[in-house]
Amino acid sequence: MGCDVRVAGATTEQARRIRALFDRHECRFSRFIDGSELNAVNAGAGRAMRVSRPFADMLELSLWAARETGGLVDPTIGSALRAAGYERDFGEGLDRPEPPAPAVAGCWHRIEAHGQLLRVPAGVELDLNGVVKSRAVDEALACLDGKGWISAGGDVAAVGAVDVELPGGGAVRLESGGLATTGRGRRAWRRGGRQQHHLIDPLTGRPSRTHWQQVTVSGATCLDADVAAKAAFLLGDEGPDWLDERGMPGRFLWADDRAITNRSWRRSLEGAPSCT
Amino acid sequence: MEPTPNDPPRRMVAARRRAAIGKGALAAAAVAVFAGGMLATRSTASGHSRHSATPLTAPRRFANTVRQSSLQSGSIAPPQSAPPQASTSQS
Repeated sequence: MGCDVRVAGATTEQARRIRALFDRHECRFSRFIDGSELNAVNAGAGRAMRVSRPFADMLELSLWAARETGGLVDPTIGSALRAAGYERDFGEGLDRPEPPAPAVAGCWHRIEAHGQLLRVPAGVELDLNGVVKSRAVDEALACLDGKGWISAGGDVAAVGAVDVELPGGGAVRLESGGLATTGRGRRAWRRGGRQQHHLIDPLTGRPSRTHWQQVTVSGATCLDADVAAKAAFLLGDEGPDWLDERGMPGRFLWADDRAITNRSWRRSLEGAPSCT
Repeated sequence: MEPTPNDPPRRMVAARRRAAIGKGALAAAAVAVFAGGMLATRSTASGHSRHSATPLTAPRRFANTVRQSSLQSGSIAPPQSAPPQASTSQS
């Protein structure tokens, strides 16, 4: 999944199971592994096919995320990512002098899924990374039988309270649920002299032009936090209020590392008893 | 005209008339009580529907509220240890 996974509080056997879980997800959902089920599905776009139960479950979560965010977290942005130049792993370098290919808007509502039967419209490529990593963190947390935490990229989930250092400075105590940070800083590259990143606006099919550098959100699960963080990032100025409407704490960083927080975040930090 | 020996006495006729009226009144009262009881039973017993059946769907407003709150908040607080035990980057 292109990120380090850190685990605390796991036995050797639990750590082995967690590693296997992430490896399985990587093999099934990566766009950069030739034999992945995701690539097989994308190659079969336009005709009905039967997918594995784990794939169907993850796709269902992706469609739920799309519904919850009004289509902002869209599983059909694979073509848009490829058009923007995200066509291989970051380790191989993505900067190119030529401009990006024509944009491809998202169309999640055109997916036809009935259990394990799936039909993706012709010419559409799925990318389920909007939910795969955070879901994997939630699943891995279930492998722990005591206090501990799991961190993968910008996603953290914990059993028991844990203090988490945030990217861009500062820290917060995660008492329950998950914490997710999404932003344009890490997965970014240049095409035709212009910066590109992986957070695609499904309406335009282009990397979002929002002014946020990164957004951190607290959710009941890592999946909730990650989906909400992506939506809040893409919403731009409306992001803080959108999170407040759902009672979700959010912290937003500008490009110069200035931070603003929404009302739910401030209420969470001000309403808690002070440390002695 | 003098009453014949076979004619019933006048007071017997009056008594039969009163008895017939009484029977009719009792029958009418019985019908009324039965009908009233049946209506009361129909309107109060749980096994009888008072209105036409409606589908068991949640009101639209309730469904919208539930749908809107599907993304749930976690719980955060000020940090209590330095340095923090965990760190995160961004995805």
